[in-house]
Amino acid sequence: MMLVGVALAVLSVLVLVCLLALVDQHKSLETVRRHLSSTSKPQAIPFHPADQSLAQLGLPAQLDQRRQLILIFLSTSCTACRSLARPLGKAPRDKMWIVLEAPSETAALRWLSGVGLPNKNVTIEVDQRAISAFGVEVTPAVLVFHGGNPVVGQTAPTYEHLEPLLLAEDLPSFLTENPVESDRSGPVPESPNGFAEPHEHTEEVPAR
Amino acid sequence: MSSVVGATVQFLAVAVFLLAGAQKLAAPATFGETLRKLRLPGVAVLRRAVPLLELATAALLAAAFRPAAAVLVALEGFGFGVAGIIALRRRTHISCACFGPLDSGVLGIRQVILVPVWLLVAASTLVLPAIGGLAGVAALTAIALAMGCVAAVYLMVPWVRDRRAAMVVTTR
Repeated sequence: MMLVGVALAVLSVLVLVCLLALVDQHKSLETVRRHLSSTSKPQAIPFHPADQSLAQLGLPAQLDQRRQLILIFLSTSCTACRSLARPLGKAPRDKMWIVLEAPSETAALRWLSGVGLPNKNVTIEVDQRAISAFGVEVTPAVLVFHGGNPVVGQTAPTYEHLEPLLLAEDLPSFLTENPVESDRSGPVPESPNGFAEPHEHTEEVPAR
Repeated sequence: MSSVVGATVQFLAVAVFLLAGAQKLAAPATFGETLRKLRLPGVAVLRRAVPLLELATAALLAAAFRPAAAVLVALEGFGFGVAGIIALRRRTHISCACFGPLDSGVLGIRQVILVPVWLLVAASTLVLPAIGGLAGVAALTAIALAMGCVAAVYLMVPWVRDRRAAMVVTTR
């Protein structure tokens, strides 16, 4: 009887140690979450639809026909773009297109090879035509298009923020039913599928 | 009356040593950092030995092995006091880690003040009547399980909150 009691006591102490280890892990996770959300949270960026089609802006004509497109604006002069571009080389590219701002095509190609990003699904821009046409002023930035219209604009501080957008099967219904323009900036409301919710589309303010 | 006081002191001490030892075993990094800052020799050994010693003290107290438990309580209390004095002499902020990551206090005067209290606990272990044998072991099990339940609730609360938040987003 005493042996059983001792065995139970040892087991209960082991369970306690394991649970306390889980509590410690949970605390560490919370710390990491807080750090990530404070240092690299995606921000909604101001943008507007371009007056011209994507083809007229120097991008491939077939992009205008895409039901869903994720346009990523990178620049050779931005450090964050470099760390974002590295994992993009292995990312699914079926609905993604990269617009790379560079002082020259040679500099752009050098930059692409430096980050290990194949020159595929990439448009090199030396005149900032496309980025200016949508009113985007920061890089790295992402514009999500649905039916040829930009519906979401946001920064992409890390690839981890971009990945859900690239892997999502479809856009959430609140974006496809009421595509909106954005001309305000601010923190992106958190969404489990990675899509930024436009500021205008709230309960208080009806979507246009 | 003395038996009630004795049992109360006995199981309060059991709970304190159990929590201290279990916390340090569960999250050894915090305690290791404290030992490193104290510049004690054999940090790798002490990091494991101290929590095991605390758990052994809890077990001896619960089983009412009085002389051994009293010696260990007195030695550990004295050791905590020495650590406090070293921290005071270093004049640097050294995290206590007395209860692992649960304790964010600073090592120093608190440990020095508590030395007489530990010596009193050791003395009461020798003098006052205590519960031992199977009842003591059962009490130790109950205390460990109760602490485990508190830890489980602590883990469950944010989990339930996250699940609810996720459901609100997906049902929008």
